[in-house]
Amino acid sequence: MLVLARKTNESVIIGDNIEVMIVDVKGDQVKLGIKAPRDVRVFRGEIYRDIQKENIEAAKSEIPDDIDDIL
Amino acid sequence: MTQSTMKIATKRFGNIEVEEDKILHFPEGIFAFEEYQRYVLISVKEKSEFYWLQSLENSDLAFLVVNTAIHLPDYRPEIEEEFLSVLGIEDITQTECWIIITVPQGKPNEMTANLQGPLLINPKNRKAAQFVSANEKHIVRAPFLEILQKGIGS
Repeated sequence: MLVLARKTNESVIIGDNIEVMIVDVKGDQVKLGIKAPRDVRVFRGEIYRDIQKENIEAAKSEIPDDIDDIL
Repeated sequence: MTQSTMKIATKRFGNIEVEEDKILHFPEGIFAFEEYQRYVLISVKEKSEFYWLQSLENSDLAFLVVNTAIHLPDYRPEIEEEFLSVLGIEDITQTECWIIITVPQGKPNEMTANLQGPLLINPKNRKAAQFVSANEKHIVRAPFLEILQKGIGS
């Protein structure tokens, strides 16, 4: 992982069309501004990873034949 | 004109034929399974509320899903409109919304619904993707039977 130190209002540019800027820093919270093409989706890391984990569990699902009766 | 079909291998159903115009294309895959892009919806059985979202590229991979319009009409995922561009649209009302159900081993009564990571499908071009709902009430493991009865409360 590349680690860079940035101050408020400084930015990093990723590839040729993504820019991440430090908008504000308050205590241990950093506000990021992200400029990216519309089709590049941006996710909070822990949420993406949570959903990845849940998808892996979901992919193991097995169901009884009478599953509709449970509803 | 006859429907174009193709044969696919599946762990749960053996070899089946799918109509090519039913094939869904996930340009970015599904989180944790990003390398698989082609899926098809298969009803669990006739008149079932449940479907399997079966991968065409990995015969073992399928997700149990339900359509929220039918079962959770109050569920409205909060998604940045510009992220819908991956489906080729800007308007969420043009999409079908499906959620993934996790069934704990041997405990179907405890099945949970992933409200935080819904799947949206554009029925016109068959493109689909998983999204993240910004609504904090949309949790990743919502007790499905409970929310069917009581609603989501958002």
